[in-house]
Amino acid sequence: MNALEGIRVLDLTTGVAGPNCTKLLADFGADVIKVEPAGGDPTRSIPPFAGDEPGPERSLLFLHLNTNKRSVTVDPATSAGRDLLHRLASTAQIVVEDGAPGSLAAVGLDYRSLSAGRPDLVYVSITPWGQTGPYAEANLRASEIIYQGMGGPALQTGSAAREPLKLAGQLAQMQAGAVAAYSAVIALFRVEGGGEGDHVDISIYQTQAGTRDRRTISLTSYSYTGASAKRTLGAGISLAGGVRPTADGYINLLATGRARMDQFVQMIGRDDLVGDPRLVQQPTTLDPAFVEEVSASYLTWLLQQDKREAVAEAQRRGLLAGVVNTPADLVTDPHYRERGVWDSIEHPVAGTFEYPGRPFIMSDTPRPAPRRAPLLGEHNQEILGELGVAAAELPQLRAQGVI
Amino acid sequence: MASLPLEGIRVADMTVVWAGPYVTQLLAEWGAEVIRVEPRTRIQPLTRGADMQPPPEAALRQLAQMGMTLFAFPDFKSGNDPWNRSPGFNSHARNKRSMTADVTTPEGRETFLRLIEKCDVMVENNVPETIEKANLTYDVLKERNPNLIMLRMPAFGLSGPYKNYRALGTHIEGMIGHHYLRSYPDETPEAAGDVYTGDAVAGVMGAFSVAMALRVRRRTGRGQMIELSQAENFLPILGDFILDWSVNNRDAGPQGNQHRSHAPHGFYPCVGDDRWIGIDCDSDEAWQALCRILGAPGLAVDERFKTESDRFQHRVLLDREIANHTRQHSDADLFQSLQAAGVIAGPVQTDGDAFACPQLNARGFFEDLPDSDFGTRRYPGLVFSMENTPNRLRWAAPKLGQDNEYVYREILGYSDEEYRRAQESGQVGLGYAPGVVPWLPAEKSE
Repeated sequence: MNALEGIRVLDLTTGVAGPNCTKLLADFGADVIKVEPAGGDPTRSIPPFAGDEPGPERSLLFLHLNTNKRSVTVDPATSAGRDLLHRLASTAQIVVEDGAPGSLAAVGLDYRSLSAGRPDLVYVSITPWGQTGPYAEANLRASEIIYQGMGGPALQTGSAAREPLKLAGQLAQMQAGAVAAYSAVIALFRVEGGGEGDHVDISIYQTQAGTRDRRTISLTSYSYTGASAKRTLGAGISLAGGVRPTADGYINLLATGRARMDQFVQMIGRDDLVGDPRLVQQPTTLDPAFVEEVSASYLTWLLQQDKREAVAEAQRRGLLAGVVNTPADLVTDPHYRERGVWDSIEHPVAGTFEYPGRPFIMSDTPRPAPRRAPLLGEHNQEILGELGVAAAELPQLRAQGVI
Repeated sequence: MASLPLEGIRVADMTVVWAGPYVTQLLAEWGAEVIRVEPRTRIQPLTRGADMQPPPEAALRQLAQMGMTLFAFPDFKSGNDPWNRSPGFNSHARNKRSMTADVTTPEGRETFLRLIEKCDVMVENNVPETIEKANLTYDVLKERNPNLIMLRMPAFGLSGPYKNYRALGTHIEGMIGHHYLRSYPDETPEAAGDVYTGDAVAGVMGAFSVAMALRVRRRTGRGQMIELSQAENFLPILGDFILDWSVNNRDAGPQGNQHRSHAPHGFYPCVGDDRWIGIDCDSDEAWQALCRILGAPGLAVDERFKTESDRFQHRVLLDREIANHTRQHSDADLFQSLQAAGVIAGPVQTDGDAFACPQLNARGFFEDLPDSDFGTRRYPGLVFSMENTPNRLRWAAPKLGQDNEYVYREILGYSDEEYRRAQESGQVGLGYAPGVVPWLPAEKSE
């Protein structure tokens, strides 16, 4: 069986956070019905496109976020469309939506309406600020960089000599989607144990304010001491820390403590420093000339190394280290190849290519074979047919703008 | 009032540093009984945060200011038990319990296996060889508890060339391309510093995987083993960038604060020390409103910045121009006036700003928890809420070994004699054995 076998999810989301939530549910076996407006989820028009050719079936972000889902185009602004969505909702155990707080009440797709007579419904709302609070009431606008700047650790990211630095891509929204998937499954777990459903309130901002990427630690540090975390000018915590160049790129290495510092100096050809007390002193209290001397030896060694080899050597010596890979390095990296991380998925419009696949491996309920993202409205007939709508009725529904 | 969804679920927690503890934090917050199993004979510095020399307060303060805040003990006081005072530990371990047992000894290992018999879930994120050497792999644990769910989350996985690579989040992020992609576009990756985003994502995804396995077990009666490679887990986060390479052969390059099409888009300086406003200009209307509010009529009519693609093309110059204007405003004023005009904007919040944020406070995000030694402190709280299930943080992080009595006696059923032996052998105790934290005088380490 699949991990989420027998679970149907009505997916009323667009963009990134909601679709990542429902992608995770779909990837592990839930039947996710993605409801799109006639023009499609706006993400279908976000670049980059396969072959750099724009088109609703070619957005790489969309293709990535919507694997294993079925697409139906139903317009909730029409009364027939509303009726179809209500019927679909009644067949789903989980509804995920990302409308502005209160906005779905007008079409009867809010938690209050759908849970009437259905206390076991799991309903997940994903919004920038949450369902309550002054920023939600004022309908403040937000996007990825705002979530990270206000909620996340942006002030601590980057160089003290520069502006704060955002994390790559749509990290905050992706993470919020994963939090939403977790919340949906624990709520479902309670329902399947005979308990009640619930309305989960996900604020993307709040998932960043509570993120374990430094923020909860720095907030607690502030609470304890009044000191705020800041960006640094470079390797602050270790003589041997941080990103440095090799002959063919960059690596990131960290050595602390007696044994590892001794390994580090041997690695860079400075056996004369083994046992030197300065190696385990706070770097901020060291003579800058000594820091410079170690740094010069390290660089001299590094610049003769290949990045993967330098990391392999550091790891052999028990040091923490990683290569600063580019996307090109990544897809050829032997480790990921050997472990079979990449999914090759065919798509009739975009073509066949490799996607980043499983996030984890479940031994008893392995992830089902990945299916490509749906074409716009691809499953209209199939899904409406399951509701008892005859194929002959579809042209009329189409003409009326219902689907 | 509904019960917490994971009530009745017991978790054995052998996690270290940040990623694994975030999994068990999320499980504990929603009702699971999480029992941390920790040795008294070794300290993992990034977990309990106390192996550093005890520097004077000034040095600690400087460390905090440098961004390294794991050692920012309450009021900068390390006390005799610094391992109970680390913000790195205390920010995740609330709602958890702590027992002491060293699984690398035969006695501690047997205690652990007795615990496994009483648990539903076991979570760990050590280097694979650590679990193998301790002979505590899934096959072994399953003998004692056939329905056990075990989550292992090493950096790179349980097979492959990097299987036993040691790494923190920041090294993993190098290996999966995040460090490169998030670097400043006009600098080498050295300037981008260290981040630990992979820990956060692995934590959430680990909790998600356990939740699914619990659901499966209720239906099939079977537990299972989950392998979460922290590196592989992060790859889908960068999906569109990776696909751009695998489909289009395009390396998008370091992105910094830029957007794929919006401009201006970034963090811009404001009045004050290290104050910044985030701005995301997503339309021509927003652009005109931004120019109006910044008092920059010249920019509004500048042909180079007329359309989104014009602005994107000239984004380096544009960023400089915008910064020259934002510098004359406060971040708080810009947040208010730009949002009022429909422009996406928000301040880059310091930790203090976040504690004062009206939105987080209206939602009760921060919560006070009392500690028997250093008093009541305020902590970041739950990341989501359920309308019909009121939920709060229950208790502050446990002191090392605090729940020994409860776990050994009540859960594991140790007799008086057995418990006394465990105390005598040193398995059971409060705090670390003498000498484990060398900079503490021996008489003070009890």
